[in-house]
Amino acid sequence: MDKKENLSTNETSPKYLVKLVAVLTAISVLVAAILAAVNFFTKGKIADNGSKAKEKAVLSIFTSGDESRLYKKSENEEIYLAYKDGGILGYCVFISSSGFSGDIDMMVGISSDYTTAGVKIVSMSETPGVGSKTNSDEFLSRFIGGNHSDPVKGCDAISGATISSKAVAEGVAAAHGINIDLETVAAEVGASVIQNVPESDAEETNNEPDETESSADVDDGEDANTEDTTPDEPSSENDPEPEPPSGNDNYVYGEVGGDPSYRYGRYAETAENQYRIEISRSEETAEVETDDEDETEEE
Amino acid sequence: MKSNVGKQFKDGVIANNPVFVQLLGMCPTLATTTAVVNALGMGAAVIVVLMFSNLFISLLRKIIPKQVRIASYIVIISGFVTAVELIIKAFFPSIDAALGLFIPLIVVNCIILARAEAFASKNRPMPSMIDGIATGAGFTFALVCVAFVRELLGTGKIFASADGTGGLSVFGGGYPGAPIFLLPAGAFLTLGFVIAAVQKIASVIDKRSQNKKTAEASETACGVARDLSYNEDEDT
Repeated sequence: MDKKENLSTNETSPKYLVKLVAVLTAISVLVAAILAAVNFFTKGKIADNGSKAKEKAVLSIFTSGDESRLYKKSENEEIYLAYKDGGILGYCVFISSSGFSGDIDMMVGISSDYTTAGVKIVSMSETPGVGSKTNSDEFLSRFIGGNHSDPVKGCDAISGATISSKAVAEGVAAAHGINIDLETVAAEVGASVIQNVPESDAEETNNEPDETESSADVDDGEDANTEDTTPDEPSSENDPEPEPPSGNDNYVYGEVGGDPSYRYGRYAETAENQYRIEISRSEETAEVETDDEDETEEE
Repeated sequence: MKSNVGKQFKDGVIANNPVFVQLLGMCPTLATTTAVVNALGMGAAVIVVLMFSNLFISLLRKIIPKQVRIASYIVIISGFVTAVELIIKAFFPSIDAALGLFIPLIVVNCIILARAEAFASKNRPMPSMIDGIATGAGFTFALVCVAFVRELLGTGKIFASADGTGGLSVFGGGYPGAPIFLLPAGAFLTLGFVIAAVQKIASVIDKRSQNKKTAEASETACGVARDLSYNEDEDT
């Protein structure tokens, strides 16, 4: 409405055009200055909050621990150590896995016997009432006890939340895919490793093979400390590679069985599996329907 | 246009409520009203942004040339939104986790640009600032109304903290919750019913005090707002 009134005579004069640019520039500079000031005062606090939330997640997995420290942070991995009285209880891998809507950021705790100590979701934006059910102790505790060679233990997905459940499982598997030798890590930070005390005898027998594995790791680590700097690469030597036995077919969720096209790889790493996962995602609803049909047919 | 604080607040919260009457800012209204705490957080952020952007725009109203006014307003608004976002991130991390993307999206909340264009660019700084607070209060009031219904029916609890813990259990532990109210569909349903209820109440009050001038003023304001929204629909 006001525009017509303002079509004044001097509107096209060079002086006026310069004024337009000058005013807009001045306002931008002013706002930028205010923002710079606010950023200066909040920057440290924001960084603190981020690491505090993660440290809290670590300690909620290792409930007996009293301290958690960032051990290593690189582009694709972020590892925290959980301490108790100066000894290392285990480590936590912070991992992002893409769920149904956005990333699921989670902390996967792995205790000193290289079994999953717990999974904690730090942030997620899954559908409330459906995908958000994965953020429950009931579901997350299903992963406890998984080891490097069988991280997911074939535990069931939550019905209706297949994609979200898979995303969490992928995160757990990816966390186990990162090879960390706690003994060498402990030597590096100058602390000792507290061996996990098994809760029951049955678990102890399960854990035994892992312990021999870890002692083998110790030998390797003592031979060449240079390996410490890149714990991922020697993984192919130390560990008979957790991924390749990507006995994809072993990690089938639910009771879908039968048709291999309903079996999706649990590991986000390999390109092939990623492709499969993407497909399953794009056809999410259709897939669920066919799953159901399949089951009823089998019955 | 007089700096009548009481009238400005009545106008911003009831007669010209940005959500219930003008139907502005629907995106955050639908998206962030899953819990009363989130609604309060969003409302507080909008109040702060509106207050400062109105104040600055009003101070600069004689300097900003008409041709670049929208660009200038957006730069100022986005500056304050980013500042508020940083402050929320620093001091209220749980609110930040719950509201996430919707804090930066305040930049494109049409309530703020509407108040800048319709009020702050034509009025002196003090009334503009009060208008910002009043309109923001109206927005917050609307968000809390919608969030109250959604949280109550969706989870059976009320006033739970932003990370979903705590809260006052209204229906007892046996209530399983109705997730539909936490989903977008429930947001539309709730908003529709809440607007209908508010309009009904407003019309009843109007009828009762038909002879009073204040009622007439608010009614014409409602009428203008409806005409405006009707025209907008026609355009699109």
